[in-house]
Amino acid sequence: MEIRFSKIIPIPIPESNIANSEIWNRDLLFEQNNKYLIYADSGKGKTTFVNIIFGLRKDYTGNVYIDGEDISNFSINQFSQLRKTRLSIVPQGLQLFPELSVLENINIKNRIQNYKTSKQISEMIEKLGLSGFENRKTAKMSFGQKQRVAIIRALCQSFDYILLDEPFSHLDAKNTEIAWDLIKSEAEQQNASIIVTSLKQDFETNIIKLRV
Amino acid sequence: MIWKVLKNNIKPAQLIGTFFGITLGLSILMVAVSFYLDVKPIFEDKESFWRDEYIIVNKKVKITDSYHQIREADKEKPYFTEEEIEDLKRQAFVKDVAEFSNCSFAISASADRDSPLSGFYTDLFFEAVPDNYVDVNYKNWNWTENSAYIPVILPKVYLNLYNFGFAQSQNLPQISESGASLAKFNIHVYGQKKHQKFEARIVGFSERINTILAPKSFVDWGNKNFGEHEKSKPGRIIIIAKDPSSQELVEYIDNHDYDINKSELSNSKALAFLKIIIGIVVTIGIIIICLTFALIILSIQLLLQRNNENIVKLNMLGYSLKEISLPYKIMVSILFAASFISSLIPLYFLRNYYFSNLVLFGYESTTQLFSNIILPSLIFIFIVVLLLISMLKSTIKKIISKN
Repeated sequence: MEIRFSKIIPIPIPESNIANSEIWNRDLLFEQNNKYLIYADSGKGKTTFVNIIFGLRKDYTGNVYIDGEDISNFSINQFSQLRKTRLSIVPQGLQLFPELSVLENINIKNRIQNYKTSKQISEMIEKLGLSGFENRKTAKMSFGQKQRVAIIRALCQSFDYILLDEPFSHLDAKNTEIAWDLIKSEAEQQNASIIVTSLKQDFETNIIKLRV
Repeated sequence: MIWKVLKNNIKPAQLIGTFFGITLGLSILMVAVSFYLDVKPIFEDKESFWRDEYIIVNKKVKITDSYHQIREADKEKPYFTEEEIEDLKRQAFVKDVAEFSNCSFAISASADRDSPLSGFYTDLFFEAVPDNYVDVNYKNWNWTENSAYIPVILPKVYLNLYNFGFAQSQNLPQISESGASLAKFNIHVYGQKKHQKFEARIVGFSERINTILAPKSFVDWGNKNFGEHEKSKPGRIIIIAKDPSSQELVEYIDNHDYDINKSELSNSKALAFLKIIIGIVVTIGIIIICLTFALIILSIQLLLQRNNENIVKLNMLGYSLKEISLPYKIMVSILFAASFISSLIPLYFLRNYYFSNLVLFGYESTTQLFSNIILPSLIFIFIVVLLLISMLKSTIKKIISKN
């Protein structure tokens, strides 16, 4: 899958932020099997960038093309289809269901494609140090724990791109590494691209860096 | 599992409230429809219940203080002219008009010596109306020339007058309708210097026509063969009113100074009141139904707005509009199905209740409960559910698009 940005300017972003940006008002091409780091200080539009690709924001000028098709013409169902099988996301707000348990939050995603077996899910839960929390409602968990649940959930589907919006902001170094490795290995398996946003640019060497 | 997320914010009390709301709305709707369908024939097909209203009209007999005036004025006046009858026929409220045929020959009745009525003798008159105006169900109501037997119909009030007035005061036995019809008597017809004897029997008692009726063929034959004077003009006519409750009829009768038996219009007044009451009930029913539906629509909108966040989250995970709306569709369908089944109970009892009252009037329904009420109601509910579902889908679509 190919994502192309053509002179995108989000309406709410001030002009001063656009001139120095490597994203806004540029022509960009995101290709499969790559890793992209989108970095910037707070308030520059990292989340806006992720949300534009994911179809959650439409308040911009310019065009975004997915496989040559302008996404502003996509219907709700076309986006649903993309999100089911080709685009995965860990949103900054995580968007977990607080009334559901850890396992239920993961399964509500996994059941769409039955992508992972319950054994594979258990392994991921274990790797990310959430064993024993499976049946705990996410409302009663810390933000760091919730981030890990959201990461596992995002891996329970096929994807060409995985969009990670500051996914490790509340994780310690060890957990960040485990999670990042898990994401990378899953993306490699699927020949998928990773687009990750961060406040910092010293993320990893083998990654295409773009400043917002 | 989606249901677990989407059912969030649905309170059982709210669901039960909605269920009772829909049940009440549907019950009123179905009872109203069923009542309307059951009662409609009363208005449209008069034969089934109220039947055509037969009204006997005569001109008012004036009391005047001079013999001369009586002779001159009343000679013509109490009779209907052809123009007057034609004018009546042209009125919108009149379905048909018939004249009373009078006899222009003398008649007397007597009993044989061996009869229980031995010694009975009276002068008599006959009148006749067209056979279809006669309200006594007697299949041999006719007379053919050369027949020596004449069937006779008396007014019901005569029998009542005898049974409850005369018989009681004189300590005589009361006579039933069937008992009276057993008695045979002789009829003597005189005129044109001829005399002929017939045998007669009372074949029934009329509630509608207050006169002594003989078959029209007999009266016509008698007038021709025994008539002493030219055919008299009709003093009374009988009309079949299309809508006896119509105000125009009453006004026409008053304006032309005609006379009718006002109690004959009592049914008509009842009918007019019934029309008003049904109108009010149906209006109230429609208002309640509209309010119920408005309430359902509002409840659904409110529920969706409360679940706004979860709907957006589900869509983010890749759930399509169809998948998100499915649990709500099922909920609405189950709610309506359960309400529909429940509303059959009040329908059954209320219908039985009003039927037990209608039956008192001798009314039998031609309405089929399933094909005329339940099936159309089902189709109606199906359409309502479809509308609600499409509204539901468009609201969910709006919620998703907005975020």
